[in-house]
Amino acid sequence: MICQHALSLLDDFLDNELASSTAAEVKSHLDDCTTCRQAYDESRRLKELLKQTRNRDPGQDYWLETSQLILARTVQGSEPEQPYAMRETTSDPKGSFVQALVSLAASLVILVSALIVGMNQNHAPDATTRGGPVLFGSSVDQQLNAGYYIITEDERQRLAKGMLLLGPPGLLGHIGGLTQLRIVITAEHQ
Amino acid sequence: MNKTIPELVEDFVKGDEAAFTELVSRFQKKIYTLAHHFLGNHLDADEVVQETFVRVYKKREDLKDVNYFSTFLVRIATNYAIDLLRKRKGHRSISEDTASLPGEVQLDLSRRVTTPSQMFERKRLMDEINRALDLLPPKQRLTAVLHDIEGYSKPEIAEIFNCPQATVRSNLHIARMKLRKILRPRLRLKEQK
Repeated sequence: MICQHALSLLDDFLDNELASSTAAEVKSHLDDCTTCRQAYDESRRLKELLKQTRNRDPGQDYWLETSQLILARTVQGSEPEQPYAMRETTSDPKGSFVQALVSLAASLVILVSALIVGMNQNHAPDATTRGGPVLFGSSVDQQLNAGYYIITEDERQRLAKGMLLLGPPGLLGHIGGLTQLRIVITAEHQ
Repeated sequence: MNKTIPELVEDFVKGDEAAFTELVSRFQKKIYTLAHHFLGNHLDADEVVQETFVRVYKKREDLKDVNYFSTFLVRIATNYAIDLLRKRKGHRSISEDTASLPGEVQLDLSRRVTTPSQMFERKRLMDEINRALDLLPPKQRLTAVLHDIEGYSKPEIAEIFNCPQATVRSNLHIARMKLRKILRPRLRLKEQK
């Protein structure tokens, strides 16, 4: 038997679907030919590997619930608008924990945002919320005397990019007691 | 006394709801494991199980021969699974681990392994196999899953796909060649062990 013929019969040999005389010929060839033997060994191991993936079982509760859902949609005739009846996810404790964590994080973000907004209401608008000159009808000297810090549009952009949390208008600025430092943005030419 | 499948199917076709309930109970695991291997995640497998039985119920009058119930069922399931896969644009939506399944979900083999490193290795192996299967076109993938994982014979698969056995043999041969190529490092590693 030549290699090409042996290789063409390899699948059937592996699946025990050859007549015994042909199987004997293939076996004899595999004993003599290292290349075909290697191909056969790989196929055999692949089949073993795939077989190992069997028997996935989501558990008895899942089967009971699934039966009930199917019966509700067929025998009991309550076909939902959405074809596939989604389950409640209460049976997944890991999912519930993640959901709770996300909710907690969202609550914290809202709380901190509310605090910052509240603090900002007590002083001038800052560079993170407005562009261009923000105070009108007052001179630069008056603004400086009133405790405002004048920056250019260019500086505002840099501030917005890199110092959002570190500069006076940012969160750390507030925490660091720098809330008194107020910022006015002015155009480059002023 | 427990009724046989053909008896149950006969009763079901006549409108016996208890017979349908029993058929669901007997076949849902089979459809689930098949869909899970094909689609690679619990949620899609769950959808396939539900939709398959709902469709079987609606099409029960199309069932000409009670002896072909299993083929009829699996054909509906595979058609639905292929449609679902197309919707997902050929990708199994979630490369899932056992922890994402509900309840006390474990792979059967995970129960046999005892140490964390064995479990980790097991998980890695499953991921590799899933990724390899993912690279096959739907028909080749399904043929490999049905034959090499679920244990269907070639004539049964031909019946399910309503195609000649030669097509099944060809699909299986190509699928195995591709899988061998993809998983070769793993297959050789196993040889060394």
